Amino acid sequence: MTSFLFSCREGETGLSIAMAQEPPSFDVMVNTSISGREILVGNVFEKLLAYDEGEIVPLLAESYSSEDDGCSLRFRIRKGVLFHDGSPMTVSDAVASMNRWLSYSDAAEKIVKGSRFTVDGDDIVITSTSTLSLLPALIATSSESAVIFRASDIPSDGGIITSEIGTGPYKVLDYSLGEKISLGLFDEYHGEKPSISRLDYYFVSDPVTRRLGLESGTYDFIDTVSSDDIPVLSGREEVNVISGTENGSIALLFNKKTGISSSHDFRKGVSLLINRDELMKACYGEYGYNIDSSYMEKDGIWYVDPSSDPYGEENREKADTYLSEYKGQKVRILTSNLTGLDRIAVALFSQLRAYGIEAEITVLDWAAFLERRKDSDAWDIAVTALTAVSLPLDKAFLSSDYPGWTDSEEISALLEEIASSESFRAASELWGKAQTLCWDYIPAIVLGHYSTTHAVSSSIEGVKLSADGFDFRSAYISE
Amino acid sequence: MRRVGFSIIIFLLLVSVLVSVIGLPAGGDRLLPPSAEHLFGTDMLGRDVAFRTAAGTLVSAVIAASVVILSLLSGIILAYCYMHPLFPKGLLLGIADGLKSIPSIVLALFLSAITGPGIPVVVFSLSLSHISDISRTAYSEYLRIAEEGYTEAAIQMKAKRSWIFLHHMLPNMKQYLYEQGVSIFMTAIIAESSLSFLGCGVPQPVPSLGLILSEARPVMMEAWWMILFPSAVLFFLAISLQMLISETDSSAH
Amino acid sequence: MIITLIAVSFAVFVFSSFAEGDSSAYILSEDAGEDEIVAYRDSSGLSENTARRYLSFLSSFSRGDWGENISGQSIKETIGRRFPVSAVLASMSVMFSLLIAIPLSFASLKRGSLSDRIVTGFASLCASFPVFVLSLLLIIIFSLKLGVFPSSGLSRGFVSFILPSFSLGIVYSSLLIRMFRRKIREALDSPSGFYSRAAGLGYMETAFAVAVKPALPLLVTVIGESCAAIIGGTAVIETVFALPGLGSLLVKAALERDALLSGTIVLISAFAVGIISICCDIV
Repeated sequence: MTSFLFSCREGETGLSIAMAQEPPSFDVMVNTSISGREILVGNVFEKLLAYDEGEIVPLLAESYSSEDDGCSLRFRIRKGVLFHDGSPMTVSDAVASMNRWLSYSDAAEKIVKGSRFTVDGDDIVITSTSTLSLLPALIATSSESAVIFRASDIPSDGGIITSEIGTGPYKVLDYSLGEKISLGLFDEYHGEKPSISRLDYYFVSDPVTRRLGLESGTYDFIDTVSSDDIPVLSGREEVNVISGTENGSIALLFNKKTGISSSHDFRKGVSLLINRDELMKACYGEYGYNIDSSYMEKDGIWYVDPSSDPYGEENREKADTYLSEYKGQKVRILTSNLTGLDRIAVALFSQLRAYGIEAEITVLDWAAFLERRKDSDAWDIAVTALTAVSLPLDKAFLSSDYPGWTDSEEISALLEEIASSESFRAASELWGKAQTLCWDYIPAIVLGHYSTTHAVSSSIEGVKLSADGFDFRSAYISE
Repeated sequence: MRRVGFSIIIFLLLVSVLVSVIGLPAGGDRLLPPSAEHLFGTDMLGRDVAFRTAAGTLVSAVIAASVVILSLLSGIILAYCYMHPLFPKGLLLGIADGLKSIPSIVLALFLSAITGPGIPVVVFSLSLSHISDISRTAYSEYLRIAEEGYTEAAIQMKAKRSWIFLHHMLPNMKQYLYEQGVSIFMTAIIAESSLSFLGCGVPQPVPSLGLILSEARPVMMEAWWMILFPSAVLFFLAISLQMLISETDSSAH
Repeated sequence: MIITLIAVSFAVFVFSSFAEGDSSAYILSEDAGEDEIVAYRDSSGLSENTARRYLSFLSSFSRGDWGENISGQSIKETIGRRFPVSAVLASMSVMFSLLIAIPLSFASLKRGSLSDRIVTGFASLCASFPVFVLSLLLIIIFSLKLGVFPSSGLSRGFVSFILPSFSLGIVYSSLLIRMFRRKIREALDSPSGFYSRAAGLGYMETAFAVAVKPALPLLVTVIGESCAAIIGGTAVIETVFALPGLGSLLVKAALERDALLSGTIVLISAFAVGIISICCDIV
């Protein structure tokens, strides 16, 4: 097998990458899809602050500082940065983009409580009634990416951004809807240029096609290798299998508004009844996941040891005490057929039935699933995948208007306190309390966390993996 | 030959009914190759493949048979309607042709987005393209017969169109309908597997041959048993159906 | 035919509006709040009346302005890129299926002969593999082991079409074999066939002499119908081989509830099918 390398011009190199999903649009601010972040954020679009190996690093902001006891933040905007069309990036682009981001990010809104950025000379400033100490981290790591667009590209009517013009080291050469997107080096980039001059991301939804493409040399890198392919691919010399940190979790949402799941006892019972390993295995196979009922991922500061979860382990006798009156009743499971979630639902269905609880599964495509989930009369348990978020404020199922309809004053109060914490340490202590409360209240069961595995031709090195997926900006071809 | 064909089909159906009723041991480890305990191995959820294949055969057969019945009946009824001068034939032919150009796979996607996925959706969308063809052929056959001399005599005797339809046209079409039925049956089973591949086939957890095959695809290179056995069943179905009609081939009218 | 086109595109629009969920599910995040969704729907025209949206679609379509899909890409350009791919795939598949079906049909005319049984078995075999299984086998043999053809994509130009159209061709040929053999055997059984046989001609020569003429219109009809089926029905093959054709685009548009894109594709497809049918009727 030989690597398939594009040669565009003399001395230039390119990579062919097979993606599992296509980003729904260029508007990475409104959509958290990981493929959007992998292809566009950092490559085409950039943020004020970046997150690099545990540190917040200024990027489009030259520096930032906090004033007023932390209630005010000031960002100095870097000069001399050009957009891909040659126009300079100015404070007005920064302020318009950041304010748009604030309006779309629920976690940011909880922190800033209605305030917005304003221009002050070369800086943008935001002032609020409570401390904003968590905001820089959120700007750097939010999955609703706080990137800077041209102010003229931002629509005023709630529509989405369709512009491909950003400030990043790569610019969009060509976008063929549903087929591929090609990026090439931006010569006037303000920072250090990556060594690979061209990236072609192909959208190949079928995992078998991706794998065969890697093995036959059509692709140099494939996204999301399925667990059952890992042994075979690991055994091949020309291929490296890599996986990074946890990217997200699988959760069973409970409908706490009406129906069988609104009973606290039922939720406790289910949490004690299920075999989490079997459920995760149904979707992921042998590798690529950790059984962990902590809501936040392991490598972060918010992680709480799940051994303190009273309902986190399978315990039949205890489950019986809660579930005995529910035998013979029916549970409606809702899920989508995206990325194997329906297999988890089927496994859950079998487990419930084996116990004696009737169950019924509805599998819908993604759009229908999201719509049906809003109807509180339609389901009892919903199987969903949640992207990893950087702040627990972003855990949507803790809020009362997200499907599941969590209604706990204590939890909401704790979240509010977290939003206005003075420091990360204070915030993570508060979160520890909130997590313990959640493990008792059980708004949802987090079965475990998954980390995506990829495969790359062994002649390519320096591929970085992070919570935002993979990036090639430090990658190079070794001979 | 014919009897061989029939018996294979009956055998397959009997086995699947029996197995579905009796049930086989459930649960096992994922992706086990065939063994004494699991004759056809297990799939990626640990379910016994033999059991699923048997149950799936029944489901696929029922679906395919429904598609055949729906297509043939609707096609004939539609052709019957075409005969009546007051019927907006041109309009309907146009619409039918148009609906034929929406591939059944996409039709199933659209329909399941409206009503939710389910077996009726699958049956309906797989039938639609055939209905158009059958009604057209039936109608042109009727026209052909109507032009032949002997029916003029019948009309002289004030025979109604429907009588011509029933007594002249249908018997002539028996062979065609029979073959179409078989062809539609096989096409339907395979089409259903494409639907499952794209996510709008038979709803979980009901198995069907098509669903098993599409589930098998990601692990196909390692778990050959998930492809081999359902395909073998399909093959026998196809062969026996083929044998059923091959005999009528030589019977001349 | 205009009726057909209008009916079909209207059906698609109606489907998209009655369907559960809309494009906001794809464009916005999974946890988007209600106000975000409403703002998006207003700005993209989703909150308008379906009939009005359909009429404006028709009027701009006929003026040549095909609009943009939900992510802002030009529909005209996208379809323009993908139509040739589908067209090549469809025609090559038909070609392969004929190349396989015609010789096999002629070679196995004698009922009950060994060749008859072999060909029947082959046809049944082809009919019992879904195309995504068959293509996988072909890819493993020709792409991985022999390295002759690419496993996916269009990188090798024309050569990239060979495996996909061959897979489709094989599957379709089983249908054709059945049809051809029946027609040819009918002709053989007819009076002229009988006389030719009586005059001492062998099966094959008789077949050529007698059956070709009546088989020709059948051939044309079959080609016409298969083009129709294949133009639209290539979604699975395009997914398996990662070919950017109209079939997979239509599936994508349907899943994303993109009424404009799916309506336009269906219109184009119905138009192409209509043209082909007219041509076949003429012949």
